[in-house]
Amino acid sequence: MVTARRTKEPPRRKHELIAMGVLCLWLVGVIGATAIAHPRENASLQYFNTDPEVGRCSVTVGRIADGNSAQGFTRSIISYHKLFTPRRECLQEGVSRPTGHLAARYDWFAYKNGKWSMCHSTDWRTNPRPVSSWSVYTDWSVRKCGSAIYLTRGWGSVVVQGSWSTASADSPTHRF
Amino acid sequence: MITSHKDRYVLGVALALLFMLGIPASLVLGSEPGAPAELPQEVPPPPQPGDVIGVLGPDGDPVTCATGEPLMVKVPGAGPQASASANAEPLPNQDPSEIVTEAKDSATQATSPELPAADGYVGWQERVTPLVPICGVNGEAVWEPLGASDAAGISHR
Repeated sequence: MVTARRTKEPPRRKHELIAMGVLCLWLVGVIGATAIAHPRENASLQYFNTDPEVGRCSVTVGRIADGNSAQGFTRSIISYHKLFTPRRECLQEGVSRPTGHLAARYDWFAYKNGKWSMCHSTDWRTNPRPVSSWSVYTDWSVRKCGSAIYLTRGWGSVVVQGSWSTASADSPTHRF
Repeated sequence: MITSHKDRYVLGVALALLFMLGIPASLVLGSEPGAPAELPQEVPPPPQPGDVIGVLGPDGDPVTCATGEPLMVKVPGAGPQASASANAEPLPNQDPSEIVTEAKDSATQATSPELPAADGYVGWQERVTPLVPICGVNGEAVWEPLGASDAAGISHR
């Protein structure tokens, strides 16, 4: 007769598993934190009283990130939102703007040898369809202005009551 | 001497703790905001619209024109959006009475079938070809789409 004998797992194996678990958790945390840390951005807000009871606000964002090739990524975002007027808070809920009523562009600056220089820029581009958020971006495949500290200046503009209202926001700096 | 499993376990945990607390901050998170090597304090504020600054080439060196002078550009400002071509924005020579007002916009939103039925956060994006400043005939900056110089065989940018 064959009897199956269950072997008890040695303590050493258990300890190794615990150690591996701790290491895996740490790695997940580090990778997650790194991913969350990029992109980095700053925003500027504009407030509008479009009517005595209804307020609107726009958010312009200048963003910088590593990009898919880790050679730099720049984005400018303009979004239009409802405003909670009593506390002057720009709400998450967006308000759609007609085609051509949102515009975005960016400037891409490089800092090297103690001086800021121009690297690239874009023309104004307007939303091709009704949306509440419109953005333009470039994902650089190579460093376009060499090794330097870079910054995105995002520009956003929205037509409110017949005229353009424009703002800009500078991203944090980032070395590539 | 480390002889028992317990000793090895304690040593392993101690090494793991040291690794977690010390090494990652400098090696793994070197590009985090606030890291000294990433954000040197001596970086001055970026240029403002209207400032005249130099242009860096792809090699990271300042671009010099055939005149021997460095290529300089005026930092763009908010102006050009007024000439952006689209449906309703005021164009430079447009009759002010033709400018679409917010109230008219709202009416359009209520009736146009291509607009969303309810407000919400709807985004759209576009990957753009950047503009690059190059040397003009007299050494002044001329903006052109990135890659156009390469196609034309122009070597300065």
